[in-house]
Amino acid sequence: MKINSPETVQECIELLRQGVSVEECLERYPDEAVALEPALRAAVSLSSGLAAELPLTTRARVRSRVLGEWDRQSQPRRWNLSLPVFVPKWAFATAILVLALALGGLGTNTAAANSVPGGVLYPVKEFREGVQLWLARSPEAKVEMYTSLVKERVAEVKKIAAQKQTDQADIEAISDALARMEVHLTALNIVVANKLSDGAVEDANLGFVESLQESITEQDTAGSVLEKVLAEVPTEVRSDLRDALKALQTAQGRVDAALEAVK
Amino acid sequence: MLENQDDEEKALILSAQRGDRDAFAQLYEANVERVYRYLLSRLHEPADAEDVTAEVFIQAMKALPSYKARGTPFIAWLFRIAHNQAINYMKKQARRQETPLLETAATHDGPDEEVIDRIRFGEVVDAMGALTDLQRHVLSLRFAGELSIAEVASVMKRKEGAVKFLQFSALRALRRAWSQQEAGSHEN
Repeated sequence: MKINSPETVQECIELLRQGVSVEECLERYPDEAVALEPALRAAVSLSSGLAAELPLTTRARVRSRVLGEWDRQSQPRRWNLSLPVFVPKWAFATAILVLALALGGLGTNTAAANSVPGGVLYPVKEFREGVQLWLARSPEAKVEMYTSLVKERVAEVKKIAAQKQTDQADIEAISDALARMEVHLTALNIVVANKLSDGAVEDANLGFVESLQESITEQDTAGSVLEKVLAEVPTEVRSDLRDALKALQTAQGRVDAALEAVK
Repeated sequence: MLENQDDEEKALILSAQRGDRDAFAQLYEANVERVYRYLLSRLHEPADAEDVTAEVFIQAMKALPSYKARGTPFIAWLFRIAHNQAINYMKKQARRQETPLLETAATHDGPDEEVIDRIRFGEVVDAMGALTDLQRHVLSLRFAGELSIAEVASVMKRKEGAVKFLQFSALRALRRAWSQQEAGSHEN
């Protein structure tokens, strides 16, 4: 007999919120009533105990403070370059890239290369990386490209961490860069696995072996940098960073195994 | 109806991302009550909850351009900010966190009903002190923030099944803590 599952408690909490009493709820689940009752009584007390109302004066004070900050920030907000709904992101990035090139934008390109997630010029960087990835046709070129992207994401995390800011925007930016890094590592693993599958090991050329060796070295460096950065990033993203380090170790292990297989 | 609400919220977010102050004000009005209640359950003091609520919306305003409507639901995104801000605040105010709640209730200058509410609130958070951080977090999100299981899962980056289990174990632990408190008060 299934007794007092978390699922049943959840169902009863929803019923309580619809006005059903604890007793009625227990009647619906007689087999579980004894075990359910304490949790449901606690849920009822909790709902009433935590149902503090936000006083109108507090609401108004907070609103005034928040919107006051909005007004203060409104000048720089002009530079957020928000997109109209009908403009796709790639079109925006292309437009910026074309503009940057047309205006002799060496400076813009350099600025884009130095940008971090959330930055105004980051779409340019993303677009350029997308093009480079598309141009990388061979497995070794793809391994090199993904390795270089991992390195770039680590550099972004390091750059943001060095600013020692704890704003939500910085936390999101670090989290974004780490998530992107994990995507690159997954893609790298897929490229390596595809190359090794279906008897392709015999075809593994020197270029591919070298790209794997280079990837291991770069991933080593990336791991060391992230470990050093761990103490500098806001506490909120440390678990993300530890997850990224684990992903890096896993990827390294896979590339290492692939290298052994093709040598 | 829910879809309409979602669409309305998305439209407000988009407008706010484009710099529409009124749209952001509407997002504030729609969510401030739940954020405040959640923070009050975590920080216990109305003045602290007020400060941190303001900070949450200021941080949300700054991070809004990078928010993507297709990813985390807005309310879950907002509560992640609230959670992070609450943790930061608790670290800074570690000493103040020790202030006895019933003492605060007794010195409250409001009407009788408000004092009774504060005592009830004090009893609840006192009992929640017997729980683990994770259990407290899940109960605050569910019962003070009034988030759904799916939204809590998104805030805590856990699976829905794990959240239901946490909620279940937390409620039972809370009931045990209350029973012990009651037994203690009868002995006295």
